[in-house]
Amino acid sequence: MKETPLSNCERNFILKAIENKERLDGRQSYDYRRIKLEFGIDRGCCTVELGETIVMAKVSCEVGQPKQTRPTEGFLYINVEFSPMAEAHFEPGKQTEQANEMARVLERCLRDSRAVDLESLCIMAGAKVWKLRVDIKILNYDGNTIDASALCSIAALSHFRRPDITVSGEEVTIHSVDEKDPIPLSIHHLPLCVTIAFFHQGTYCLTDPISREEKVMDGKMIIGMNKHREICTLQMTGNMLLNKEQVLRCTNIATVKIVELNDVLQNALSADEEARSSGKPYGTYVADFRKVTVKAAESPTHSMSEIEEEARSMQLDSDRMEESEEEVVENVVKNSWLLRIKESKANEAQKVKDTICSEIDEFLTTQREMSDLQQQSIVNNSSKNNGAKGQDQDAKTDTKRKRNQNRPKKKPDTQSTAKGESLDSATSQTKKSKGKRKGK
Amino acid sequence: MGICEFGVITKADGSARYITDKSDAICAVYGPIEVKLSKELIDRSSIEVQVYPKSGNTGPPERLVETIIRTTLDSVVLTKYYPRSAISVIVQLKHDFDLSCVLNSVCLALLDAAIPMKTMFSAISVSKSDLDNSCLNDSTMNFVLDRNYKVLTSYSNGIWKEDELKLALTFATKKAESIFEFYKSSIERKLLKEERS
Amino acid sequence: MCDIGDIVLPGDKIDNFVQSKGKVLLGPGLQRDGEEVIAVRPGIFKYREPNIYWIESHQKRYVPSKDEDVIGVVTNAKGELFKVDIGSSEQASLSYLNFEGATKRNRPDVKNGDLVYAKLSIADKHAECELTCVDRDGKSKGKGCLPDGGFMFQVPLHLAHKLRHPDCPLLKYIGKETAMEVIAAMNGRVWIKSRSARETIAIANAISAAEFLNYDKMKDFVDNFMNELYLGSS
Repeated sequence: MKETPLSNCERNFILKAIENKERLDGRQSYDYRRIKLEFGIDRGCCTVELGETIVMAKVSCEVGQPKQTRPTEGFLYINVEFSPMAEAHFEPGKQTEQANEMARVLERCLRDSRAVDLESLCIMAGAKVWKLRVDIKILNYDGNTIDASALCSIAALSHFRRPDITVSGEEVTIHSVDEKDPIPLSIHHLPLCVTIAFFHQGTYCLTDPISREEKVMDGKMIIGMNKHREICTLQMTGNMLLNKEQVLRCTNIATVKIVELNDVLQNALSADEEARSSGKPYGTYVADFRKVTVKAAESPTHSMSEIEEEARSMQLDSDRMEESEEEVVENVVKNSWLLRIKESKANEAQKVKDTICSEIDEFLTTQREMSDLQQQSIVNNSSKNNGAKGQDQDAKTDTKRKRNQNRPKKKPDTQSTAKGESLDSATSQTKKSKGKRKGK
Repeated sequence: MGICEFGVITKADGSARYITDKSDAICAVYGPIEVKLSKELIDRSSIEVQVYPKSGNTGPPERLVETIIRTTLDSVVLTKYYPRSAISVIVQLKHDFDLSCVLNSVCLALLDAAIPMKTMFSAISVSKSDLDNSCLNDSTMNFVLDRNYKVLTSYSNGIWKEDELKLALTFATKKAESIFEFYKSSIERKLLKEERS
Repeated sequence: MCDIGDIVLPGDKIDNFVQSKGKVLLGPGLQRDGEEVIAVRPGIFKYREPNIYWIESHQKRYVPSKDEDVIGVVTNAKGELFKVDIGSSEQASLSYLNFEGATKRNRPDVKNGDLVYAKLSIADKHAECELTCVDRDGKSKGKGCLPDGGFMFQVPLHLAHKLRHPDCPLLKYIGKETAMEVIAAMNGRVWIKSRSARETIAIANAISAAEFLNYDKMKDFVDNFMNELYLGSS
């Protein structure tokens, strides 16, 4: 079965609508669709519905031999499969490029960020370890499968219980569920993904794209992050160039979205736990959350055009922030039903086009300065983090802190995310800052 | 009897999720769609069936179930309506395997897709303990019955005597009646949404 | 056994045909099986004067039928026959001569990915479907390539049928409130063009939401959504 082609009519219309800050389903640029989490009857099985996209994850484990080089570490293997159920043109059993890409991103996000403590999966050093396997299946495809899969797999991992074991000398006994209660995995943090799609060479960006938006986008950025605002993975694909401020801007959007997604996840997990402990062990639990509006704080603007301005006035951030907060609140009131329009921004599009050329020029020059900047930013990092610590208690300055903390940290990360080495440096950095927080 | 939900897979032409106390299966139907040249039939549509377990890869047990479903559908679906096309049936299990649950979800999905069928079918598993309260004997018998309670497919394991088999069939017939009632009420709920709105 | 307006399921026997002179016509969803007539699809049993019976079922996949109007996406605009995706099991073909005013020298300007509104001139289950954009007199009568600036979306077939029904007031009500062009094709594709992208999206959402709406509820529904639309923009 051939894929149903996207007509020029739809393509042009979607792009035009995005220029006017409209989306096909009436969402705002940074809104997520309805999220529904459902845990299966048995442990470690989770289904996430994100709008019409449906993703199912199942965690299983078995005992195996560890690697020679890492004798005390267990395994975490992630497998992604597009079920032919999801669309008529998906062929069964075929490993597509898209599935491989997703599996790699999720592996980086979950395993390489050390979200799951692999050392606790060791049974006997050098001989026996637990091998975890997460099977992700896309059951219905309507875009943004990465965010849904990340949420689904971390939910399934948190929900999973592995059988208890007793080790006596050389002998290992694996207890069945009846003998001993199975034990949860030790999970350090909950990394989640936010995908941002870019249009018109990065001028406009949207979170949670549907499949038709994905078909017309220029490129996308996948940001894996936990609620401590530590970036676990960052990947940009597509045919476009981004300004470094745009990257920063995207990570700021991601921080807000991660907090929302994290709330959804933890509410669902605790609600399920409650349902199970209160004597409803075989009830399928459905947690239904709806995110209707964007939180005011982090999404004051709706296009990338204002990024430059914003980057310049980063220092004067707090004033700006209050102003834009009002703006958005007002918008939310207006946006009672379907759509929101800002007539005043109609001629903005032209302005935007002019700025792109200069943006690209600037990008090229800034790239040369990158290496210097990196050096600087590391210095900045320590000083700014110290500054931020003082405000930790104050909830109102929360967003400001986010920016301050994020800004210096990401720079080394964004330059060469595709390579493995940079990840190590990134994780060591995040570890450092984590240690600081704990120390406090 | 279970819970049935239509249209769960929005991309498919018809889909149903069927939850019983033993199992939970989603079935999606695409059809009539383009057929692969190698599978094209001149006078009727070819039926493709795929069954996926809740985790891991498909193996011989799934292949067996696929065959059971295909042979059942061959005798029920009016494939002559759509020559040179394919009807694709995909089942995803979300819990333990249960043949009757899978087959009933397939029938519900076909009804949702409005694929022309001679008759509907319902699958019933009868275990020996249902008949004589013996706990030791775990022989099971699976029947697929049409609307006139004629047997379309049967699949059994264990030892069955002739009179036991007859008893099992009457037991299944009784159960099938309630399953058809359930189908009817589910379809009514779906189609009469308009009048109730 | 089954009355008009009842829900029937595959395998139901239909035997209470209204006694009338002449032949009884069996429409979609009904099949003669020897001496009996059985339903082969789930749906609502319908009857129309003088003696036509059929089953109205809810379906998503389009099956071509002769003389129906469809919207297709051109997938190959080269050669003498264009290939057009109409959402059915195989692509339909459309000759470049079947456009208004087209001659061998004057080829219509059609590119890959363009939308065409056409009528099925040949639709046989054993053969490839053929489309045409002109009637017998060579006039287009609104058929042909669809102009730029509109938007197309897919709805279930029964909703498209409902929109095309002469009694259905939904599009009339929307048309009273705002200026728009709309085509609801038999293959479940709806094309709309209105003054702005915002309005187009709103209308598309309203049409999709009307799937389970009664005719008499439509007035309130349209009023409601138009109010919201204009309040939002003011």
